[in-house]
Amino acid sequence: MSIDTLSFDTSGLDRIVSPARRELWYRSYRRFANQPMSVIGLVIVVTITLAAVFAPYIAPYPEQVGSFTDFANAYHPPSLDHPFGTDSAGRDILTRVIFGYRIALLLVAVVLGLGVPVGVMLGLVAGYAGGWVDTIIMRITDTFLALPPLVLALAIASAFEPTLEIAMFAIASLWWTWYARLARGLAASLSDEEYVQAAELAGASRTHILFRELLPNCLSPLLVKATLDAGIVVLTGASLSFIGLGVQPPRPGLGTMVADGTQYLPAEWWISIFPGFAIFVLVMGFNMLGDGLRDLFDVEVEQ
Amino acid sequence: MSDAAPLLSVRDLSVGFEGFDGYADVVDGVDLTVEHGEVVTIAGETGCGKSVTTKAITGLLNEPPAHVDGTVEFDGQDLRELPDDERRELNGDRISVIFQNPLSSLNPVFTIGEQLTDTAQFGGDGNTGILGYFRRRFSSTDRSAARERVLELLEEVRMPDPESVMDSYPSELSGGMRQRAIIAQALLNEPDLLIADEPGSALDVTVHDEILSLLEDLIAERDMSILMITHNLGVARRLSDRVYIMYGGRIAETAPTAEIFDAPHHPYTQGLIASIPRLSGESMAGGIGGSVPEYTDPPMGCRFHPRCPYADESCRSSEPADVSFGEQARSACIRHSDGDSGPVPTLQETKRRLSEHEPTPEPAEGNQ
Repeated sequence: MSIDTLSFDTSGLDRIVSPARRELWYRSYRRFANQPMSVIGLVIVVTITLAAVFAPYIAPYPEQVGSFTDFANAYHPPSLDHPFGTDSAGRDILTRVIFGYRIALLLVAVVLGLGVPVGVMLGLVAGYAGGWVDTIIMRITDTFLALPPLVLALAIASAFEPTLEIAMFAIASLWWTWYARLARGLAASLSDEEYVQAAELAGASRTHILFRELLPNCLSPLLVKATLDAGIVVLTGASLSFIGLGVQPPRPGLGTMVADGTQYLPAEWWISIFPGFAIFVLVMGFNMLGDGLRDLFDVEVEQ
Repeated sequence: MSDAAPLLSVRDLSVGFEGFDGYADVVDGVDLTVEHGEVVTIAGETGCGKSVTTKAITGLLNEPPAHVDGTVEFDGQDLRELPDDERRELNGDRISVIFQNPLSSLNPVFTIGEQLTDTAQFGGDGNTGILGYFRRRFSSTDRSAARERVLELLEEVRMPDPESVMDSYPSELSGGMRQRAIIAQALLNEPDLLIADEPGSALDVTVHDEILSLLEDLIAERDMSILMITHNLGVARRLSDRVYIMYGGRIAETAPTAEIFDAPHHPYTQGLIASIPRLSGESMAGGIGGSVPEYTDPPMGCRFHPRCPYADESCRSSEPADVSFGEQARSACIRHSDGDSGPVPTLQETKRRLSEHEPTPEPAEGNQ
């Protein structure tokens, strides 16, 4: 069954993307779309990302994000005007949650954007080269792996002034290790595949082996791992903010908002609960999407 | 036989592996040569060490765990001494390898066109550096010239509909088509020496036959030396100029193809040839009793003696030396030289004896 059965004139399209490849995409799409959980996950992640990117245009009261005070409207329970209520300074919580997503996703982008390429390259080189190169890279990785991200982030954040940026780099400086380990294992086992040996015996350079043989063949487990990881990065960032070492008030960190609201529990529950629920939804979205991708690619990722 | 030095000359090649059961002595003192333009076959039953021999020649064995000894000389250069970079220059450009399994030798995530074009562009060109690599990879003139050559080669290996095969993934092709693609890939950079490990034997008989006739035609058209591995004597007879018969990690016998099938000297070769099923029904049913030796504890003396119908005490106690039968033929059996004490093996006699012979049972394993 192919999409060509609809008998459109596809000759122009064929020149750009071959029918064989279009069919492959179509089949992958069908398989993905048949899993309701992963589709829901994708919808959550895409919606939240769009909301975060266009926050200034979407949020109902964009001027109330930062150091805005309107004590007349403080502790306002959820209503039509303020669906998530208002906090102790009278700021709209929905607005702050949307901007909070911005910070959370920025954290994900920075941590994974730095960690994945660095870790993957180190891992591929270690796994393919083997020998002492492998030993050196992997022992360094093990050293970093021995430090729990949250604890190191704590140490770095308390040594410097605790800000979002410091927290980001503290987390990123440890996050690459998992990708180095995963990529190293994949590269080591792929190196024994006949097509990699065949490429070597065809005289391919190391660059070719790394970028054209090994990397493309470990992309799917890496993508699955990165998606599942995104949720954990969000949680780690929120945890740091919650204990005051991440996003600093008045910036709208989701963890910061949860922490701020705890002192008003249980009476003004909405101040804490809605940002907490926002974290939950985003992490769930990433996990459902990751699980769906894992089933789609049929890979096993250690968690 | 040409006067020039042979293209490939392997001398005293030994390969062993350190394992939990002790040291496995898998290839022991193998000598072999491939002349310019010659097609040579290494034949033997499964487990005789023929694949390990080729892996040692191509440098695919990791050391350790493997221990490799001896010299592998290609066109005057010792491959085992060459630095990695120079080795990569030879690979693909002058030496090509075809693996046994046509599916696993192709990268599953790229189309045939993409990966063959890569080979055409980068084969034997291992030292361009990262930037140089990507500059060439994305140079459209370089790329389309390479693509043209891939198309030509696919035509030459009689690939049906080469244009659409270029855009297909390996999983979308039949076994025969994949095997043709691999042969095309191996020939792209016009190697001097092609090493083929059981080409097409993973395919069904009719497709295997097509692949063999393709290879026959390619051999006729090209001035290329081939070192082929096979367990199929029919393949050896059909394609090669000279045959090495391997047993238990050693060369039992070598001779030009016609000679070895007409007048085999070694009892093992005779046993193999006698085991070929014939329509006339005169083949013996049982073949050669027993199986290839345990490499961690190989038989003393001649490694074939536990299965050999001529074996006596002298075969256990001394290693057989090569006996020459003409310029290119030699055979390693102690019976060749002691015509007085026993028969020089003949095919008829071997056949008769094999049908009655019981292989010596493996020595019972002691407490370890």
